[in-house]
Amino acid sequence: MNELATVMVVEDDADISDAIASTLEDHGYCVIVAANGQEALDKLRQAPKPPHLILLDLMMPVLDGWQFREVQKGDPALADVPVVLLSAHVDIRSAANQLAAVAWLKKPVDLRALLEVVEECYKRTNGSMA
Amino acid sequence: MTVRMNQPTPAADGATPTRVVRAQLSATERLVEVAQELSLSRDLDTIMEVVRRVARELTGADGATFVLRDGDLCFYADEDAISPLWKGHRFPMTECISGWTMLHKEAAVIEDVYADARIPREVYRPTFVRSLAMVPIRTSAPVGAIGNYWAVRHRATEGEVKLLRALADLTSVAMENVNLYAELKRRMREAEDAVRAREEFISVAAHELRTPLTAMLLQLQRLEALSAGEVRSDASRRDECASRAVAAAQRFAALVDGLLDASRLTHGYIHLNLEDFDLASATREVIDRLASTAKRAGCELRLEAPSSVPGRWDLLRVEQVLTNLLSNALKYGAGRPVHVVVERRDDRAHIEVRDHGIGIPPEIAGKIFERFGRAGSISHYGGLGLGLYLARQVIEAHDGTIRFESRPSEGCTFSIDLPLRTVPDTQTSPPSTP
Repeated sequence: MNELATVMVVEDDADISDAIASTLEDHGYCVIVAANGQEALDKLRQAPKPPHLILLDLMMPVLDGWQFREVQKGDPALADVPVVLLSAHVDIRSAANQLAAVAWLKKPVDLRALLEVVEECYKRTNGSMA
Repeated sequence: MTVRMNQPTPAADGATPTRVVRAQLSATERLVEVAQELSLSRDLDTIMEVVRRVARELTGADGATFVLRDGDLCFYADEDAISPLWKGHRFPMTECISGWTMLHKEAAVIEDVYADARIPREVYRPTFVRSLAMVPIRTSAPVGAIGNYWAVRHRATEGEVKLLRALADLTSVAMENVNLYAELKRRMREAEDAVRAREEFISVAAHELRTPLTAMLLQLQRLEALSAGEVRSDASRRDECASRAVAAAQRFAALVDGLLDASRLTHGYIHLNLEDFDLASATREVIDRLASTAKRAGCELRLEAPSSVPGRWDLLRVEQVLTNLLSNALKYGAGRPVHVVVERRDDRAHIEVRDHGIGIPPEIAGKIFERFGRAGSISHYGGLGLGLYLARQVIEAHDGTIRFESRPSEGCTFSIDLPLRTVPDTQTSPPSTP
């Protein structure tokens, strides 16, 4: 596993972001956590390098997932970072299409599915992690 | 269509029986048309427009009024006349002829208004009226009256009064239909609102339940992977995993409890287990329990309270209310301090929870204590929208009050006043209707 692979988790529920971050860290990923879209943008702009992937929740305070995507897509430095939606949204498939997400995971998410999607998305956009 | 069917009786003008029959037939046909017009009316304005016009047509009068009963007053709601009468005016029932008609439940025929004691002459002097006929709408319990007026002396015939009575009967049915239609529309709107609220609630509830379920599932699967040696593992990581899974399960259980609680309150009564305890200590405990949530939200919880505020309430319910108010303050006022005040005010205990968050928009302020009410958009703020509903039920069951003051973007202050000792006979109370 490439230890430099970095995933940003944008999720307002601390229990879920803790669980996802721990799981990804168990599997060798470097994880950045943000509690809402605004915090994510702040952290992305401060980071020396953008993450390889963003796991994005939709319903969040301050700046929700839709608003985050709008700003992200308008920022040339961040626009190319692939996004995977992670939400309990009823129609997550069409939300993913609408937001041009590379994949989506519906809550409650399965650990293996999470790892597979992250691995697959990373491979597709950044080359093999193995 | 203008049809004049002023049809004096044969005895009055010597008309031939054939002419009388033709005139009666014509009037009957017009009444049938009116019945159809009125049956299509969906509001009172349309009824009045039809009736004031047709009342003149049927009798050939110089004016017609549509009067509605408004408590002890007669409201001259509409008119059609050669010159203005009293449209928009209200007169006491006992001081006008429409009132007399309604009170006596019978028609009034007056050939000379200035020679009849029931007529307030001063009111008639500025008008053209010399004679009149007035019939009540719905004779059994009049809701209004229809009046006809003539500029020259004229005694309304029996036939004219019959036509006016028939029009009044049709009007009565049409008014009842309009009321029924309005009631039906109101109920349909309520039913549609209820269905919409329920659908939205199911969607919100599913989202809220999925949140701890997601955390629980991930932690358990992670524990499984750690235990199976799939990833680097040690006892402390497994312990941490297990305790986080337990915490998520407890959160899930609390949500389910909240749902069941709301359901119970909707269908029945709230039961209070009263006991003596110190409200200041209970508040401190709730604040301690929420310390980690406050830290995550970037809020400092500041308590201002005397050493003790003893009283008799339901401890678990009061803690539930405090938790709901503080959780909301941390959710909507993230990043800013939250102030809590507990004090005794005469024979009552006073609690205040003040945040500096988004506040409550004025347009939803009236619904904030209803089931599924929420201050922020569902895409920004989670939650079932039951916290304040439950809080109000609990506080009112204690014979207390809960209210709030808020300005958008400046935060919100919730204030609770509780009697120091809730008396046993208020241990149960019916739920407030939202």
